[in-house]
Amino acid sequence: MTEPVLHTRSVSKSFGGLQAVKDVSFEVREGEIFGIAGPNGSGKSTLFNIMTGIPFGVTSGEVHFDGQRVDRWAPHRIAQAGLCRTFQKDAEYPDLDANETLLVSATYNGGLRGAEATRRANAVLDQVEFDRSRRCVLSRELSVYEKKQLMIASAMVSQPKVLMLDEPASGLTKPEIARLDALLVDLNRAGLTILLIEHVLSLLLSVSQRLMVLNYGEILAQGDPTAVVKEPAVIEAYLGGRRK
Amino acid sequence: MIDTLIATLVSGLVLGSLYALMASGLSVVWTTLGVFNFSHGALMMVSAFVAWTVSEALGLGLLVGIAAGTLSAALVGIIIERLLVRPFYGDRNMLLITVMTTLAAMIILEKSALIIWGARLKQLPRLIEGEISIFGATISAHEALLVALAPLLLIAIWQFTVRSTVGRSLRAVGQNQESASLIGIDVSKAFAIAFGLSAALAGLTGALLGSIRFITPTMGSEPLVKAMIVVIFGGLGSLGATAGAAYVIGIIEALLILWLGLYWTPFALFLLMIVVLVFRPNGIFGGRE
Repeated sequence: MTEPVLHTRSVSKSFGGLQAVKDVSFEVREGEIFGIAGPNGSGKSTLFNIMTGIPFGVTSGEVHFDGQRVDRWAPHRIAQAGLCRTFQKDAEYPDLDANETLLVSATYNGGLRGAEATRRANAVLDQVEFDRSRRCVLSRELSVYEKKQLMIASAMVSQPKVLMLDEPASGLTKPEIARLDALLVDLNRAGLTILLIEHVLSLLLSVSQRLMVLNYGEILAQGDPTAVVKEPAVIEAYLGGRRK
Repeated sequence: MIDTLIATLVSGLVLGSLYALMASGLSVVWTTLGVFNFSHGALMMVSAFVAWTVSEALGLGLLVGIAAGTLSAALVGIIIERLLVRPFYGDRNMLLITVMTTLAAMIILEKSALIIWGARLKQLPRLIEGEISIFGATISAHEALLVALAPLLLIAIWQFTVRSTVGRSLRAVGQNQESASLIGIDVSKAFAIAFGLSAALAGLTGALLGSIRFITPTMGSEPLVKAMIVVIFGGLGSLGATAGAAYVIGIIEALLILWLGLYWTPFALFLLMIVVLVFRPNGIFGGRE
């Protein structure tokens, strides 16, 4: 079996009396797309937050990435080590264009300068198939899909080992979700390990090799996606008990 | 009549240049930190006094004086950021708190200047002697230098924010601190750079103004108020809009002085500001929300 590139050991996060993530242990293997599903408020984004340290770390438990324990590291150190993420935001930098957004990431996260940074920025924008004629348009004026492409490109510019995507399909139309599906599969085939939080179940089932479902901050089920969604507890909690 | 109008427009250009330099400094801090720095005018004054001390009292020459003034303003700006702004980052009332702390800084600097340099009026010699005629209107060569220097400095700041790595990082921090810190940009350092750059700009303006107006502890107050009208008029978000608004306000002020006289001009300017705030809260050049 492939060694896990990323794993957590009993991570928990509390906000006063509220336990947002409770005793979650899971592992992501190198080269796979690992899906995370769960109803609203189930702790998916909080799990991403505590794994990357932005804006807060774990209350207890351990996060291991690429053979090192990273749960006490500064967020940018985690990102520079190769664990990069996107946010559920409209645009990362609304008043920077695509070229500038990528140059900032390439310089600070990728450690590149001058022409080399520009070359990398262009290569990554090409890789996510970002329209060349739209690269000088301010991010705030881009379409929803272009903003998603830019966000993925921005996270990829430092050539991460694992890319964590937080609901990349939200706000997309069906044809755009199909494009995103193809893009994620392409990136994965190129060797990128992807951790994917998503509400659009069809996308999760289509691209994920393994799936984990959270509910009230706890793991409800994990394993083969088609088997996971058939588990009674998952159907009850996530799908509202309507599936037969 | 035409001669008077040309003379008024040229004097408006001088005022506009002064306001453009002031307001663009305010804009740099606002777009990066989301803070309105009320001590900006006082930094201008500190620079003028330091420039006077170095060039006149110590006799080291005007250019050395201007450089020392600009650097001292930058240094004081960085100290203000560290002591009076930084402790409140992340506080949800940060904007209101920093209004008070930077106002306090202004008062402290003005009173300190009074203690250090006294109440006697001071003035710097002009960097360039002589006069220049523009379409028949005569201004001092020093004022002409201010008019020429302002757009060059504004273009330099604009190019710095658009082309340089540090400039882009300041814009990134201003737009999304979370993402910026995630990719390894040192947000505290970016804040200090923005404050220092803005203060240096105020300092250079102050040192140049010290040759045109008298240097007093409160010399920065009136330009600060005008710069506030400029940023309200133009919107704070973009350097280009702020600079454009500065020239428009400078020329409007000069025309108002001609038509209404000095006494009623501030009243008319504030009335204009209120009208703009009522109908275009984001400024004439700012986008509608």
